Amino acid sequence: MLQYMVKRILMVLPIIIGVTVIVFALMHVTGDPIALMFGSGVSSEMVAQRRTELGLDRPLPQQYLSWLLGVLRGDMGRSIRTGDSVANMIKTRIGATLELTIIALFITIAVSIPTGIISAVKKYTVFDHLSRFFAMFWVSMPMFWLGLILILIFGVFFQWLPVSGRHGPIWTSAGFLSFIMPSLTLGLPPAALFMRLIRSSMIDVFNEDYIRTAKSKGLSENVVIYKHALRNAILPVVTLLGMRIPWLFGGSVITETVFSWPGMGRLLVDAILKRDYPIVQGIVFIIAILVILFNLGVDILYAYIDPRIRYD
Amino acid sequence: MALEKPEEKGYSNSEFSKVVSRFKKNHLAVLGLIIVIIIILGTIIGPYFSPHPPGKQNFDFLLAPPSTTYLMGTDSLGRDIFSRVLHGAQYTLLIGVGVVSLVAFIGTALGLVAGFYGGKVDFVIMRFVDMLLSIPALVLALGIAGALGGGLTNMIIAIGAVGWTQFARLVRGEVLKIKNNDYITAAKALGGRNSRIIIRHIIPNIIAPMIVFTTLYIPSAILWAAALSFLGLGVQPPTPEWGALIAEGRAFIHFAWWISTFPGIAIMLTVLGFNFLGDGLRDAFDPKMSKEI
Repeated sequence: MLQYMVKRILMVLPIIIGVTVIVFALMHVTGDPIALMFGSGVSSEMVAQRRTELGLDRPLPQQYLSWLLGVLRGDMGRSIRTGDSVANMIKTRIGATLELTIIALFITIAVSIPTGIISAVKKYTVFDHLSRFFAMFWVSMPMFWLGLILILIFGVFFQWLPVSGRHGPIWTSAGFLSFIMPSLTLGLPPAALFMRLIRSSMIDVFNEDYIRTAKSKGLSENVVIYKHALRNAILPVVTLLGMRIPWLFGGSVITETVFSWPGMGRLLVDAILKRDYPIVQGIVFIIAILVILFNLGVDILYAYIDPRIRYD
Repeated sequence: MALEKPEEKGYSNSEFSKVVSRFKKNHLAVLGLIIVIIIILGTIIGPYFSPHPPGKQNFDFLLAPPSTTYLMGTDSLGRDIFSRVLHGAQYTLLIGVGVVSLVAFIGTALGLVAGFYGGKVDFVIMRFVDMLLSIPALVLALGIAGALGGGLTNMIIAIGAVGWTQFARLVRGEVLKIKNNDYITAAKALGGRNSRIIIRHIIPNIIAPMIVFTTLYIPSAILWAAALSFLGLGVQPPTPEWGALIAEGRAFIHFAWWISTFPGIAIMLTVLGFNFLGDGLRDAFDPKMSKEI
């Protein structure tokens, strides 16, 4: 297991380096950030002066290396507009994003596993049809619209929940209430997808010989479902979980914007709209690192659940 | 070759009719097809039936709730939401088709090359795909759209530029599956050029999963585009694109629910239609495929 983990971690390093190149290129190859930022109303001397100040007149590889060395030291540059340290801006917001993402992930799992199992066990019953039908609806809804509709119902109409912002840590009652709508907005749409996969994967496993054996030796239905079937049916779900993690972080950008959540996603959207490229670069890089780390976690979890992976 | 042709044709005909009959039996798939046809018709003839010009402002009816004159109410400038939703359909469809064409083109080309040639080329392309996949597609698309400067075309480019990765993986996988089949080896042995083998023998054999994936990808493209427009990096107001319409209504959600609600329902129904159709096509082409796509 240790050997597998070391191998897997070593494989991540070249990907991280590649990601830094992509992130850097994204901001520098697509156009001159300063010219874009100032627009057409500013003299070319001023643009040139600002470029020299920010070191943008140096060759691209040199700029990339100095950015990369800075990142390794924890320095991601400063915002072009406010002059604040990008690393500090991210540090104050990363917590809110992580909280939201992890709770949403928990909701996804907590909703999809039971409904998926019940749908599979009670195949073609009313419950199964209804949950599959609703799942299709959830998948088809734009996430930001789902957020707005939740705000409309629970924030504006019933006035049960705060319409925006994070009102303290989740363990306080005000904080807890402010978490409900954003985490549902982020967690429910993927739950629908997971539920469908768990259902089909459970149904496949039910047809396997070892399930028939388990049943024929007189084990109770519950033992067969939870001990024999679920452990095998969960494998494709873990794969999907890994594939969906980038999506979750992408979704957090939308959710944070809809609910004015004080996380990195909102900062990213603001920075893109204001063309503050050091912030964009920093956040995209950090999000990519988080995705890579989460995926690493999923892979290790996979190897733990399925020992065959370790010996491949 | 000439002798084989009629047989080949007969086989493909019966295969095709099997696909059609499997598709027809699936009620949701047929429903999906009907929704998609309605949306396409709505795009073409909808603007002729719109009760008001989409940009016409009526200051006597600002934020008017739905009524018989304004079926879906009006926005903060007194514009008819129903007419705007009708006119917005064309953008959604254009975006869906535009993005999917771009994604299919880049994804197929790179997937074919990676799968067919293998080795170093495959390694380089697939590692690049891995890197792109570790940056959330939406975040990357936002970054590209921001760098390019928003607007309909730039948005299509931005989504297309990040969305091809899954397509490339799928095509590569399909190519690997058939690459060592006898007919490919035979074509090689006969001295066929690689480009000819790819066009004549590989592409026709991977076309079914490609059609299914393309259909299943349209909903994602529509949802992404709506999200980009909602965040202010896609289609700009006053263009009545659905995502942009929802964004316009966001500030008025406390007292005018209808502005954001109806365009959202329009997006949902369209996406639902394509999802049903895509699922149905997948099951109709090959019931086994459902586990792969």
